[in-house]
Amino acid sequence: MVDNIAATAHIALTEDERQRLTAEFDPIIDALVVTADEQLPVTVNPLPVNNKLRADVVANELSNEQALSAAPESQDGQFMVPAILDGE
Amino acid sequence: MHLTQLTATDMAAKLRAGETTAVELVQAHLDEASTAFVFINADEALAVAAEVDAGKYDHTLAGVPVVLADVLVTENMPTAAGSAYLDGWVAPYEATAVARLRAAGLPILAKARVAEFGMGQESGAHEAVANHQAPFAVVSDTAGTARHIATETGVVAVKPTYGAISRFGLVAAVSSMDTVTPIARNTADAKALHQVMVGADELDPTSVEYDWDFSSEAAVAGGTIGVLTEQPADVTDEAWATYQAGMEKLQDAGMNTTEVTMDTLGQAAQAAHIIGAAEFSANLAKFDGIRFGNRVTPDNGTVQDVITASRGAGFGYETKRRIIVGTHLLSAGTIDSHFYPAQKIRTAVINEYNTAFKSVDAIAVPAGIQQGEEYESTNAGIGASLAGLPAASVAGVHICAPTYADELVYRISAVVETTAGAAA
Repeated sequence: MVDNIAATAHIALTEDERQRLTAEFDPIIDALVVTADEQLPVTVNPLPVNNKLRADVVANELSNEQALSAAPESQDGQFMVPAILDGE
Repeated sequence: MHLTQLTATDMAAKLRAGETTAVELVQAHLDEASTAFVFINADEALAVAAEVDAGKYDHTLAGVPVVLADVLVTENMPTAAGSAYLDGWVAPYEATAVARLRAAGLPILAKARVAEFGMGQESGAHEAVANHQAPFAVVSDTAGTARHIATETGVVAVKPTYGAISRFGLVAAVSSMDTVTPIARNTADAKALHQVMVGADELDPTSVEYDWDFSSEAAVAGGTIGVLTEQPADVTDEAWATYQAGMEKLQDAGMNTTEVTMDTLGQAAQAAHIIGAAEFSANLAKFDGIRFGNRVTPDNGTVQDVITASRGAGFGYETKRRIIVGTHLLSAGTIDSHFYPAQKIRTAVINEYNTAFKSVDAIAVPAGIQQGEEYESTNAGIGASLAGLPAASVAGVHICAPTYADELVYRISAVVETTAGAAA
């Protein structure tokens, strides 16, 4: 169970972490049980959200240099990311 | 009196009267800096203070130094959110709350220690304020933890109405509950800091448009406060006596008290843990070593391998556990058995508060309530977080009021803090 969810969440676990979480996981889920009136609507946000929109104009620009300042790798003013297609 | 012993309001008054300088104020606090801080911003804080002394800013609080919990992103200072995963990261943009502090001329002394992604009982900002290393600080309050730590450290924390202060640039943990929260040694200072940061922000779609007015000098007399009349099992005798002393102050000030019970709060903690873990897991998806977080690249790894290895190396155990629990709670089956019912409990909590607020102006409970460990834990402030209410933790009392009644919370808090033992 824990291995499958960790894979879904894209998290590598050490063997120690895997054993600890395997022991802790079911008790946590068992503790997290609520009984609600089925008829109640769900609340996603505590206050109404009014789709606050801003004018469609360029603002708060980052320079190319700023945007790349924390990038692990960059080349020719662009982010370098791992290949998602073989050999590309 | 040593400068660091003053309240922020008194520091500002002395500055205006020419009895001290911003540079002296900043230096006095820098001299007290400790391990509560993970980054000390000495040079910049002194430079801003010098600009204040040269007359560049006209805000009342200009020159009064402030500390930020290290979950608020800042330009020119690292932001790690307590995680090795972000070690060394300097954001290319700044939190709106921080930008407003800078615009008002408040020198930023330091970034303060936090639990990883702010999820835990550790807060260097509370320590620093309690120990006079800063007059006030800005922290995040998600499900009442910042208010609970305030009780333990003897400071005042006032969580705003959800959305009152922009969350833009706050490292998101639980988006529907996260609030940027001022803490201080007294109510007036927390309120003054709140006013610098409050207001709608087009960069935060959940920020609320509201015509905030904090200028009321009205007495609390004639108002009604909902109280507990029986000591709950999870409140110590000492905490109960402190609470009762606070309620006597409110009665002496002319407030009526009436008993309030909230049946739905019995499930509030579980609902908050479920919603919290679920939203946390979704929010932290962006820490993939590509967009955010230090990258680990296994030999011949695919992009999926890079993400999995980076998250594995970067996150601490409790963060991993919370993400994995949250991922499970949002999975087919569990989303119906756990997550949606938790969101319905949230509705029930909000409905019950709305009913209570038809007969009382605010509700006060002992702030020291805390029982259980980790996923079975609860505190006095969880209900207010689920409902988005403004809420203060002051002198052992937790006060909440209807949404947008932040100003009332401050006025009640100011009365409560006059009890013996309240922080100076």
